Amino acid sequence: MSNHDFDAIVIGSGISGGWAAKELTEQGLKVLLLERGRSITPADYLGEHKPAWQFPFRQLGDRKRYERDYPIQSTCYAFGEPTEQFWVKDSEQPYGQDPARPFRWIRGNHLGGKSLMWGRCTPRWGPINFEENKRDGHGVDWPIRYDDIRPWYDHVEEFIGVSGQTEFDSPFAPVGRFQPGMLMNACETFVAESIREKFPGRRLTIAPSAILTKPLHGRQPCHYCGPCERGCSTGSYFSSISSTLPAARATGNLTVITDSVVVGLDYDPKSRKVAGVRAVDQNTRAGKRYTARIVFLNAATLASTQILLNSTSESFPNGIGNRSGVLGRFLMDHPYLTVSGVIPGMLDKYTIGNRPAGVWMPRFHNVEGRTAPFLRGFSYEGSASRANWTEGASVPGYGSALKQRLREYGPWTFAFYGFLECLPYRDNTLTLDPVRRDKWGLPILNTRFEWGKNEREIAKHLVSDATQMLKSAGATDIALPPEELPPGGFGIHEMGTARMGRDPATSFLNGHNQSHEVANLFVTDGSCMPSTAAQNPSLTFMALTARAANYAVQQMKAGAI
Amino acid sequence: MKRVPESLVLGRHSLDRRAFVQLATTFGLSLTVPGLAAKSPNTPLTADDWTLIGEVSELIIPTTDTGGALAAGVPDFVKMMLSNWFSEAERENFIAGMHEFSAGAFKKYGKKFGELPASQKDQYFGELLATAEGGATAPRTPFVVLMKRLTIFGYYTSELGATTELHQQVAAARYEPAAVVKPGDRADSGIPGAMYWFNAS
Repeated sequence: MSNHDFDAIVIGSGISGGWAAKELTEQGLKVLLLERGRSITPADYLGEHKPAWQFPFRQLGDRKRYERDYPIQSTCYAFGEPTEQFWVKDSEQPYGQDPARPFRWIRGNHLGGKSLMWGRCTPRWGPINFEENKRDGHGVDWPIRYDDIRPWYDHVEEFIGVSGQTEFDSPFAPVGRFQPGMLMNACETFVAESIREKFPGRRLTIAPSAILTKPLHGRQPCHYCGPCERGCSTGSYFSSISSTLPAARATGNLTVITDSVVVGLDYDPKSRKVAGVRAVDQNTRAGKRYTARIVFLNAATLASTQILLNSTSESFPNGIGNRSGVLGRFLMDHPYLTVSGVIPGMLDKYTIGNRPAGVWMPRFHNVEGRTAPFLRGFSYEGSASRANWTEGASVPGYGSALKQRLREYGPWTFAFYGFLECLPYRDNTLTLDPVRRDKWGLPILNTRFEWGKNEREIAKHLVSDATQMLKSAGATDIALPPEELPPGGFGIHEMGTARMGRDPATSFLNGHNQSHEVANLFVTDGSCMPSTAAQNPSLTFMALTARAANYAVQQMKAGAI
Repeated sequence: MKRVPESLVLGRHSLDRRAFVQLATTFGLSLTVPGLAAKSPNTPLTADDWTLIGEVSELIIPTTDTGGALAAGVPDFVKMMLSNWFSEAERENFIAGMHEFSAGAFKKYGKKFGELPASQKDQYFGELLATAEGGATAPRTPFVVLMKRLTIFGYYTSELGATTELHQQVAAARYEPAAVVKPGDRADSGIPGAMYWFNAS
């Protein structure tokens, strides 16, 4: 193992870090995985299958404690009394926001990271998504095309288990190596048929989802309890804990150190490589330095960028590898907007089982050239469900009549959750605070984020198209989102601050997620993305990671690194 | 169509829709005018107060062929909420509303609420709730409305409400997308999503 502690160091154990650890260990490398948070095992899934009355606050959560400790995290849909152990205490890990241009940083610092609480919707990106930056000139050209990533999508889907439909192949969601898809319920089927009939080119199907419908590698198919974000003891949805980390451990090549906060990377100007990784124990604050031949940085977009910016040297006074000055710029996210309506009828139908996959409609604007009054487009997630007692306070009356009414299901409501593509803007930034430091000595990360004109224009169409489709399916009581877009970060699809590109002058990473300047440094989380598309990005992070890891091993074997 | 305040549009799941339908449709945020809460001293509630809370909760969800609010321990839930979950202003508003409710009963019937015959309790409460739900604006959310929210939430998240009155399906181990509702079937009691946005103000 030469004079290094390890062959490779992977920083971060979430969706992309788990994949880096798996691929590198399976290729025979001795890998050190550093995780800043605590260890997690399925025994930590404290909320799984727990009924409301067993929570001290009946699932409402300890509001006053949340206001004090989790003011940002508690705005996330998946945060709550059954999941609160998975979120960062904002009060203990502060970051900066520009008051007029806020960014919500949603974090899960523990083994497995946000893969434990993620949304699990995993469409591929299509060919157009890798070409559009070049076509319309917004953002740098992707250094790869769909054909470069396609085999890695296959590889990732087969390993993590993606269930999905295979009948409709959209250019924005190519059919992959899917397990059988989950089924749409009666109302979703009705809405889908109505859309298919009245809106050519638009198709609503079950979403491709990283949730099993068949056994895979010792993991069990979904048992339909519903709220995946509480954790899953049968490993039915993909997380690092259920999937990649066990595979990496099985090689015998993995060392995991938790509670280890990476604060910087040391640069050696002679070899032009990362010479060491500096970390601090999150509890004892003892410092430690590790060395390896290569480093994979997978701490998630904001944290990875923070580490890179904090890794300064004479050669790189503005952050390791940051000759171009793009590090920390072009922060992106997906704004998402909810439009819902009550769909009359089908009152004799309900569902048995809580299906944790949603429905999905791929982008349908600007498919063949630009036809819409905006660039790029949007996609919809969605779901339909029947009302129950949780809407009881809005049912007039009281007494036995109210009780009888709440004994039965209420009407169906269909909701679209639209995600729209965000263009990269130079002034959406992450910077280090010149003064304030966190308790591990890392300069606090300051954020500055605002949406542009194109996002606001897309949003209008996202809302009006959803409204039209709901109305044409007979919907009443249509509820619209606020006119103002939500702050950045809400989509939890933060990307772009260490982007890939062809030109070292305008990008941080090359087409293999390798630093243009520092040959043994790879960054394969969301920070590498030159654009957001309108699809959920995690599958693409995983495919890019697997691709980069295999490239890195080849380069090491060839003696190039 | 209505616009929903951003603070209520928080998630991707139907939880949010339910929350804002609940909050925005019927009670309307207009019912809440911060700062107008009556300045009532923050005194602990008396035994009479708890009796009143219990009686009102039982009016909202009564015992029928299954147990009602009292059997489900709703007053204990209200106590937990008032002590640990409501803000100071919300608690003061609740207590002031309760005193107003009591005083109103005395004014109307010449007796304390607790001493009224069942029919008059029902009539008094029913009229106040109908007025509130009829869209009347008030300087603050009325006691009867807060009690209705608390009772419904406390009842259907209790073991009795969730498993005996309604049906609780934890893990069906299968998915039937278009199961047929049979007579006597009860709705599922599950809260969709991780958090339910209770409005105490």
